[in-house]
Amino acid sequence: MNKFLKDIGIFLVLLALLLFVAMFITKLTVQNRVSYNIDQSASSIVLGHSHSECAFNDERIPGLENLSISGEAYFYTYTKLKEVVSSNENVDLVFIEFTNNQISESINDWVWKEKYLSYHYAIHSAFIDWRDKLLILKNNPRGYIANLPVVFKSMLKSALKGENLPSVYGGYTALEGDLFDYEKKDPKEGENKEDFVIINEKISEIQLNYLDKIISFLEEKNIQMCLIRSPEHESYSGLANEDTYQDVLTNRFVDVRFVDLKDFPLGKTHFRDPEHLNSTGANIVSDWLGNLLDQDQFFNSEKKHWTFKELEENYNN
Amino acid sequence: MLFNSLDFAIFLPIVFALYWLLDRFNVRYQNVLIVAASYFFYGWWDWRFLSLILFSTIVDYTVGNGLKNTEDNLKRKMLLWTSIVVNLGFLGFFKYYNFFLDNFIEAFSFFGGEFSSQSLKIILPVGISFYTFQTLSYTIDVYKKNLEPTKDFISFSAFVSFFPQLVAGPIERATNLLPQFYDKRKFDYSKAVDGLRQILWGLFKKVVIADNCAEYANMIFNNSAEHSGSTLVLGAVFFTFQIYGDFSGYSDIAIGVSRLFGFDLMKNFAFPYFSRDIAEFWRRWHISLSTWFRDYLYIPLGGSRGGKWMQVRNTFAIFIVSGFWHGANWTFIVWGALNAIYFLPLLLLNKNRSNLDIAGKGGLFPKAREVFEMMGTFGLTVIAWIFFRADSLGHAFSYIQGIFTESLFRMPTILPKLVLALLAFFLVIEWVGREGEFALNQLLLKWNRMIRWSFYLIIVAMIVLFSGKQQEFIYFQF
Repeated sequence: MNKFLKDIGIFLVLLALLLFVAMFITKLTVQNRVSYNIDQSASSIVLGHSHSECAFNDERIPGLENLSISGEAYFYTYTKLKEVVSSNENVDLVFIEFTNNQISESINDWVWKEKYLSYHYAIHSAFIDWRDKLLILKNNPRGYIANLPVVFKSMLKSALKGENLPSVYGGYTALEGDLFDYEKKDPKEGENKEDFVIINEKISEIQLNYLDKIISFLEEKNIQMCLIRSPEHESYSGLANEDTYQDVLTNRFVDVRFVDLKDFPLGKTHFRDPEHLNSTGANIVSDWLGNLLDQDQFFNSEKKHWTFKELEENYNN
Repeated sequence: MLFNSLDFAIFLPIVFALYWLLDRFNVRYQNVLIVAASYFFYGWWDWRFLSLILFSTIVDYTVGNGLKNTEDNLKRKMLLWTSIVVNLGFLGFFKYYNFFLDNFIEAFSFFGGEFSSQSLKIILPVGISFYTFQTLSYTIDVYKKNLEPTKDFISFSAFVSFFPQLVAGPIERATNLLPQFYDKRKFDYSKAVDGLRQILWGLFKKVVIADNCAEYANMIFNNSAEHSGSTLVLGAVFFTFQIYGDFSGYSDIAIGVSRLFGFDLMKNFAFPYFSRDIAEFWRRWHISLSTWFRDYLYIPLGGSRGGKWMQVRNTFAIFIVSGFWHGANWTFIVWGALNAIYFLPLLLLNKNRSNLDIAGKGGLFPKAREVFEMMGTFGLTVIAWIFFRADSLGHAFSYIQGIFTESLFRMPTILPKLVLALLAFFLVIEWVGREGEFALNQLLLKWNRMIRWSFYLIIVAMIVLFSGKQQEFIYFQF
């Protein structure tokens, strides 16, 4: 038995060493070969989850690049933002989607649930700070360990291909169909329920902490930032926590510039479902945002929080 | 609990350590631990069905002892039938109730009758087909006086629920496994190391071969109408390797884990895709089930006695029942019948026992004739697997029809080079190691440890790097 245990021990140590060295080399290779470059003409970017991914058609907004991606928590946005900013010196304005479901505690799953680890974590893991990794390890150690092979494979693939991550993952997505079509669908069919965040009243401190980190980072880099809420249809169930949302906004982000497009005048033909715009809606909103970006005085104004109506009255878009 | 899960990676070392710590005490303590660990292992999936295993254990233990206490033929027969009715009753209810009900209603309405009844939402308890057959083998062997019934309830419980082979076999015979629980197990270094090698190869088969092939087999089978003939062939080949990697991988892990605990389970697969005819294939595929049917169905039906007609009838009977054992669907029955048809010419020409050794025995390469025979046999099994994998008979026939079109000669639209390269690597290792109990059994044993361990590390690295999307073991559903 002793010989067996000794041999197993040596084999496992060798294996651990091999995996550690392989991971380390792969990580270094990823850091050297993988990039976060965006179009050189882009000076502003949008980051967020599927709401902003489907709302802002960057082909219609000069100088803006949409880097949003479905299911992204601020935890991953933070790492992505740091890398994008350090690789693209001409970025001087950052929009961050800030909407109802992003403050709900249930969205914490987007940070450490297996499904998200195998995608978002796998993409950015080589760039995530070890202190941030501890957060995942603490909350889902089983998922973290079980996903290591997936993460390793993803890193290896990125390294071998020398991927430029913003051009491979995320970006504007044009959705087809409208809310009329959506309402006709059998709710049991088609949509993956897991993809929708069930809003609860509890606040996700993790999300808000990472949003704070994003804000601090941009302040430190002297880059303008603006929180933005993409248009939502009145039937969107996420509006259930609107009071909590407004509390968070006024108490924690009072000094941060915020553009609220929730009440952007759009109809059922402009939405694919209650929380995502279709391409027709996205084009209207993108043209409007493009005009706003031309208004320099907006970004210099003392007033920080703006509703769509106030912007219309003041800047006559 | 899946063998290829983190849960099992934690469970196994803990049970292993406790088991060998109990080595200094009476063997009974180790057996109690095995029962507890096995119930925990099974309950991890669904604890409610533990009662079925316990009930089955109590019934067969009682029947076994009842058989010992009486020589009255009628009483003995009644005891035997009690065990058969209870075990097959569970199996019939959980696995076949809806199938019989649906077919009964269909047949009734075909003749103009009206019958309304609702199918039940029945969850199939994992492994029920395996452990019911295992306990049945005990009762039948005791009834036939091939085995002394046990007085040791703990050993018997451990035999019924032994976790490595509880949910997907090998279906052990009481004559082989039960006596191993009576004697004190001694830790055997070479047996344990060999067990680890078999676990490693089983994991490779499951995680690298089966799971990768599954992705493409599912992709092609689920949209078969949209694919070219050549792609459909590739889909069927992927499924052929998926089911082999999946099931024989599970058996390898089960046998390997058992060896860590000092047990020897029967061999379940012996390189079936290197068979030169269908009879050889069936001597090499799911051996524990084939021999079960041979001993408890084919021979009681008369076996090869009573002339050719009886032989043909009995052969069809065991193949069809074997198909039906896999699941309550006509596709499995046709799969069984098709294999019986393949078998028929060999039986009629008395050639069903002509290839008893492994192909190319003693050499590195097979003879040209053997290559053609292996390819022919492989082709036949690929066609049969289409029925096994298809959702319905209609799907299977349209799949085969789709193959035999002019698009058969075009390049497949799905051609995953990495998976094909992995399959090539797998086949080379299996071929080189085909004379051992499993591919890595004898491979590189004569080489020094550094080379051997480097090879094992490469296999581990491949498991990490090339693992497919995790799929449940196919045979769990049977």
